[in-house]
Amino acid sequence: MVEFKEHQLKNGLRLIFNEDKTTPIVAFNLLYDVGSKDEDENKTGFAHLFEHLMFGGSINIPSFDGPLQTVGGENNAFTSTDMTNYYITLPKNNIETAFWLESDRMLSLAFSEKSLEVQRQVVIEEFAQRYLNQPYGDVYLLLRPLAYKKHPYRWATIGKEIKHIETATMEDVKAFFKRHYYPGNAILSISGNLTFEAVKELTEKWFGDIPSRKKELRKLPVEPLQKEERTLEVERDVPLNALYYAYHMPSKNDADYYAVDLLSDVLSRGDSSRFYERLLKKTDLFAEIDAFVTGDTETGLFIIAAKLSAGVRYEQAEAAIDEQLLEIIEKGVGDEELQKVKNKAESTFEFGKTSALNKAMGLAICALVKEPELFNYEFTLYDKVSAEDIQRVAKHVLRRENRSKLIYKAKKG
Amino acid sequence: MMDRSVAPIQQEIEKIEFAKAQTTIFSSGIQCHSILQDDCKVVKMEIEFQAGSKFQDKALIAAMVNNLILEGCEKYSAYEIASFFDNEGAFLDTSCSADKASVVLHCLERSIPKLLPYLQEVLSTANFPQNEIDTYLKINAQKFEVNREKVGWVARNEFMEELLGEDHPYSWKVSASNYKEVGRDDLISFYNKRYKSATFQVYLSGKVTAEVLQTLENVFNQKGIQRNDVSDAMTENENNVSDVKLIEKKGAIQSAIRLGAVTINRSHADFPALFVANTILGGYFGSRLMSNIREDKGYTYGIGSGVIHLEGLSHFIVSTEVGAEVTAATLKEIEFEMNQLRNVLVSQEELKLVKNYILGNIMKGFDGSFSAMARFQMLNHQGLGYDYYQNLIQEIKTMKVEKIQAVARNHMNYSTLKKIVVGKL
Repeated sequence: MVEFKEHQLKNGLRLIFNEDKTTPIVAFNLLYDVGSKDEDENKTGFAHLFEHLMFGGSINIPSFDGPLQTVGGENNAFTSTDMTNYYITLPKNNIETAFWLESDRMLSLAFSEKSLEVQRQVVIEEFAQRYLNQPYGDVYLLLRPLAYKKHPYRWATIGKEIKHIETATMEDVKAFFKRHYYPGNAILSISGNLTFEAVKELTEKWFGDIPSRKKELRKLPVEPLQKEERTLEVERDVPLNALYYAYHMPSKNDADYYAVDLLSDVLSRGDSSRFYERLLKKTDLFAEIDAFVTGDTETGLFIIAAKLSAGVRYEQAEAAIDEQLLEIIEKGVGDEELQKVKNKAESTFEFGKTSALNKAMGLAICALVKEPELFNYEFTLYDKVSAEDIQRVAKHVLRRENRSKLIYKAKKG
Repeated sequence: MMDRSVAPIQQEIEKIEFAKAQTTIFSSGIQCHSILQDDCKVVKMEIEFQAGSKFQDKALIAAMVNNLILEGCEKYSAYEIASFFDNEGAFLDTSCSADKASVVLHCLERSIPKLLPYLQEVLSTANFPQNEIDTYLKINAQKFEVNREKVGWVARNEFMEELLGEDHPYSWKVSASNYKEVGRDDLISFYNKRYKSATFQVYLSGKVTAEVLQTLENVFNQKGIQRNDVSDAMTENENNVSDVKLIEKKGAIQSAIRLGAVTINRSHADFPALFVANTILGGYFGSRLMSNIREDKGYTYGIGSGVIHLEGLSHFIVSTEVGAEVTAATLKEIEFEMNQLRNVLVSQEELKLVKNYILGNIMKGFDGSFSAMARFQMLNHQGLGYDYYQNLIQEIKTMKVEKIQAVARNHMNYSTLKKIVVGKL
């Protein structure tokens, strides 16, 4: 049980605090409710580019990293489809530096041209390093637009194409900041050996006078129900043929989300899972095979990803996978098999509560998705799933007409 | 109104409280190191053998034995073993480095009495079934084909041989033909010598109650042979100027760069200064290499330098992946930054920042028992005690800029670094 207290400022900022007497550091996590799903389809990759710009100096402080490192702190950030999250760890007696730095960049950025030019280039190199210059690196750049036709999940967080990053202007940057970076759109979560009173006081002191703004109601286009299977075939300079299935699945706020997540675990979590034992080891068809959920807040994807052994035909590989899917649809899972994946989920949650940073981040993310309490009870949502639930969601999700298929062929010699 | 341009008053980092490991030596001679974290329900247990790749006499053997040790024993098949641990919600993994090989168990504390006797059985009677060996080779030969398309992976695979010459025990690299040369006998012989009849060390963190320790002692009570493996202490490379070795990859959008040289170890009197010099150069996000090559020029998503400590061999490296067309320009900038450290004294301001950054980072290394145990494990590998940290902290707090320059002049010479570029130049 991770204990926490909450407080909300008049300007809308939410504070969550966990007192951890055992750690020498404080974890300071500031999450903004903005992700790549909030981007304009002609300016994709912007939430992530913006995350980089948040380190280019704020209205009153020219450098973010320097003063933090000077007091022994460290920070990083990530952007996903649903959120942008900034986190700092620092010695507890210098906690106020984190408040000073983070509150100033929530107030306003410096908006320097040089920072935009350089971070634009850095992000282009990130695009190259992670998505273009890696074998299979562009899979999700292809799979997302195949699976989604309307919803902004159809582009990856890095963006649809490099061109969108190349053409970003300072006006775009300013407009994005104005729209998404304000107290009511943020959750501050802190874990460390401090008192709630002290943390509350510091939060009021540094964030209290940042002007509030009305939270915009998010209106995302609804993804129309997929009615037939979609297939895309590409050829790339890679050593092995690969195959990807993507199925639409329920959102994180739907009770069935947990059943689908466990379904993916039954298929491929651990060396005793069905795919690992039956397909990877017992046949010569695959070099790799996995099933997993994307874990998005809104309706995400259930994905099966496989690399075919040299010489194996796509029809053979697909037939073998389909046979496994059909079996689970027709016969469901055994009680012991279900208990196994629940036990895995339980220990994963328990390991997630063992450091201050994990706790601060976990509480913030749960608060965004639903409520901070979720961090403590999320496992019970898995525990409630029955064998019937798994079979029911398998039947519903693993339908052929709900599937997008990417055939990713190795170019011949 | 408060003045937001003024930083809050900085508090000096006076001392760092460590969560220290307790070491128990069982009657069998097994050393067990533990750090208790009472507020959690989970345990991490790492069983570490003297079985890294430097002990193998054929490529892949150490890694394969380490991996396949969980893939079948006298009583149980690979599937039965995997199911047993999966059923308890436990995670059983292996890892193999140049020096050590480990089996790592993550589980709920309540599962310990059930899992440990089973694990002992698996580790002491592993029998390496031929079909598991075949599966491993099949899967990993194909993974190798994927990896060798990655410039960063190729640079790492080639680097130690470039640094130390092909006959050195740390120089193992993998090539496609290796997957055809491994036999079951090779594995069994390595297993018998390095796992079955050898003693090992255990690192426990998390909810390590007295009962957990007692269970461990009861289960792992067989005697093993203490292996005192002496590694040759290495001296630094001869100061020969070294040219760039280019491994060309057609169509590469980025090149991987990896540079390095053998250097001093953690016990050396100059090490704290080298640690600071390296941090300034490329050891943190605000380092000179990052500021210049990422934040100023935008050539890369990331660049770093570091000192890697193997047993009896420490080496300094710089590594990055950069736009292919700026590969040569990046090498120039790395050379420039290394020369700056040798030629120009670091400013007091930069030194202060880096000192505090390092101290904060050391503190972060003790956030939770799992991190604290990783720190202890490092000390144990290097034959150091906790006074290493006390001393390092003291040295860093009193570090002078002249000392950093002297160390850079002695230990950071661009022209003598071994240099690998994979991609284009």
